[in-house]
Amino acid sequence: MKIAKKLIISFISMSVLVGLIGFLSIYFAETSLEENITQNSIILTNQILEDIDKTIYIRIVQSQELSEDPRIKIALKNSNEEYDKIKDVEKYIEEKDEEWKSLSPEENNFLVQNLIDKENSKILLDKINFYEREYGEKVFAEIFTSNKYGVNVAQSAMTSDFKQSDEEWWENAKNNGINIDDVNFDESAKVYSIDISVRVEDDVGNFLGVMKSVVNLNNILIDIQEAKLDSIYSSSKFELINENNQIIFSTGQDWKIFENITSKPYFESLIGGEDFVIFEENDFMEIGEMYIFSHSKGHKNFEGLGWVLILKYNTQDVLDPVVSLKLTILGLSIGLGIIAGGFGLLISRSIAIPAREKDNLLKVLDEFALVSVSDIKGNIIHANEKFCEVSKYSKDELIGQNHRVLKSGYHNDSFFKDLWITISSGKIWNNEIKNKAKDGSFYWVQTIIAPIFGINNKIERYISIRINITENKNNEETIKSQYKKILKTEQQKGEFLSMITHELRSPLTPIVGWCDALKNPTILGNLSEKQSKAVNTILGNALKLQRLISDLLDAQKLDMNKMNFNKSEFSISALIDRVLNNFEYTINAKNIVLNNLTKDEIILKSDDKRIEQVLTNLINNSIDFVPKDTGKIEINSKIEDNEVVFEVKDNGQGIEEEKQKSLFKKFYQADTSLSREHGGTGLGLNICKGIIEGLGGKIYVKSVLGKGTSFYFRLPKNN
Amino acid sequence: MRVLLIDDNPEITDLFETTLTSKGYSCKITNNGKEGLELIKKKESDIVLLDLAIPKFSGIDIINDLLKNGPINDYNIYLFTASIISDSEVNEYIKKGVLGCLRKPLRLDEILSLLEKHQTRN
Repeated sequence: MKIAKKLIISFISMSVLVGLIGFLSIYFAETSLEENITQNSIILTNQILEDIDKTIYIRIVQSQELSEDPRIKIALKNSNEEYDKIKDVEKYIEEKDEEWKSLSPEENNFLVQNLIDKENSKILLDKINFYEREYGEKVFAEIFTSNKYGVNVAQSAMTSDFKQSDEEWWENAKNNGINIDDVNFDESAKVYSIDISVRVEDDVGNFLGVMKSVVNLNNILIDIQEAKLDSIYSSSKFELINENNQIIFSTGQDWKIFENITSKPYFESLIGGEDFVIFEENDFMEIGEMYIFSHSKGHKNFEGLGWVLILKYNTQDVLDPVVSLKLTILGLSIGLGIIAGGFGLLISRSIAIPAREKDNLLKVLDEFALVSVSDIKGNIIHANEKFCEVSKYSKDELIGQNHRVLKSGYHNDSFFKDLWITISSGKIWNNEIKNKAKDGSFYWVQTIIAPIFGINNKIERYISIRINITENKNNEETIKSQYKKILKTEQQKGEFLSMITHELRSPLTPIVGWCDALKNPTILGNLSEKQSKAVNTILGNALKLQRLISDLLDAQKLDMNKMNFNKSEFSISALIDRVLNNFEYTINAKNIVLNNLTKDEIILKSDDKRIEQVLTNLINNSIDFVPKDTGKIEINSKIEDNEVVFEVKDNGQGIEEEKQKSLFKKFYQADTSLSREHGGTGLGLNICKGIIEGLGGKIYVKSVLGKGTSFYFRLPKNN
Repeated sequence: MRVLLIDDNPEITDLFETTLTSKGYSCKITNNGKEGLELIKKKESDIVLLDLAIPKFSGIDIINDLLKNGPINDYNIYLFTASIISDSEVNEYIKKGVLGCLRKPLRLDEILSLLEKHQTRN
């Protein structure tokens, strides 16, 4: 997991770095873009304002030139002289002005028209027309001239006032030489204008009157409109602000003439008169507004009108390339991050899973095994906890030590020689070793030593993995010694049985022999009936004892797997005849039937003596269990599936199914009361089973309770 | 017919002597291995019943001694033993020239029928 984490972190930090570099470059790009736009915008707005100032300046110059016209001066001089003659001229003018004002428009028009038609007015009209021809448009809308008393002397258009001297501009022009009024806007004609009023004086500087020119500003402001249209940014908007903080012109649709801007958020920035840029808002997506303020600077000796030109942009529009670059880089770094993360995850998983599996494996190994690593000389360079625990050395004591320190002295030199030959030839050595712990105690370890190869396939290290098998080994030792004891006991038992058999048989020989001799009248003469009965009892018991002894001996032989079989070819019917002959006396005594049903002449290669023993045993059993007088025993043999099947069938009481399974077990007796009566040892069927199985066959029983029992044994025909 | 019985147990030699004599056989008995060997070598008996477990000089010693001088088939020796002797061991002796083996304890009929059989054969 550590590797996985590291990988993922490094991949993600890589993508973060890429993103960071991306955003850094965006930042610089953005800054330089903003700077470019700002500079270009300031240049543009300054240019526009300069053009405006220059134009106004020209109009001022033109107005002043016009005021120098000698014809105008003469006309004014004459008018002044005329009014100078009037007594109480002030009063006259007041009355005249009142009169004009009280006239109906038609009457007034008449008077005014009279004035326009005068020669002097023609001069002004000519001048207006001259400039209109010169510029291709009407630059002067109207020109009025009034004498030193403020009474109109000449005019290019109609005016309702007779007296002008009571106006501020008139006073200003008279006193200062020039007055420039604020912008006017004729709502109906959609015409912008400013009034330029100049003082007219004679050659020696005497005040003659004031000339007022109404300058058409539309041709100037159209420059702003064109600049807007020329702009590559659709959101760009120009606003022209006058000295009184009113919007006097805007390229936008949503403005009102002379709307005051003092409440606008950027107003504060206006004070101070510097050209500058502000970004109203600036978030990641650059949604907000950008303002460029330019202040009028005048032209030549004309100081300008204190106008401010504002250029507004939607930052989103202006910084669109940056925004789209940002989005691209953001998308790219996110994409890169995801890819890198995914890639990292993929790689780390492919590394981490085997690494984790290895870790788990080592953990399990450390838990159960003593693990050590040594150099090629057998010096320990790594030992795990388990190793320390079992060897009772500390890690520090083990490391640097040679593995020899663990030698118990149990194994000889050739054992270790074999070990070293095996592992130094690059093979894995695996064996059990008895080692000595620090405290002198011994422990057994199942040891696997494997070489670890370095570069050039040279052995660099040996890794030893040992499993503590001390307990097993101790158990094994105990079992071994116990087994030895058992074997010895068994052998002693066997020897004892052999001895006993011999010792028991020896006295039986004269007993049986002398009984036989007594029973035979030709040897020892006739016995009385009582004597004869006594001899028979002795003989019967002696024979029983003999059978018991040979059963014990056979059981012992089978136990020790020491029963030998002598196989030879023999006739089965001859064998059966021989067996049945031996029972002649017994069946006659019990008055039962014993028949041989074998039809075929079968030659079998097997141990005839042992088969005879089995048959005899089975028949003896049957005789014991069939009823007196009505008892019937049938012997049969036939070939079936390449096997010879022997059957001993009786009409005895039968055996319960439960007991059938245990019949062939040693010392088992189906009916203990019967065994007492018949003197069985419980070994007979067990011996039969041992013999038949020893001859490669099998023995089994079929019995129906109350009807009888059949014992079968099958032997391979070709042995 | 002359029967030589070599056995160290007088209870058995008595029994056989009594039985065989009553049946009309001439019976020579010894309980000494060395003596038995000499008697066999004399070839005065038609049949020899040889007990294997005789102290000092056993039946086995007798056979081994006899074998030194060639085949022993002519001696008509039957082994007569109460020891545990396997069939294969018996077969070994038969191969060496012993005629058969009688296992103790044996019924008198067995020995009598053997003698009868032997008599008719000769």
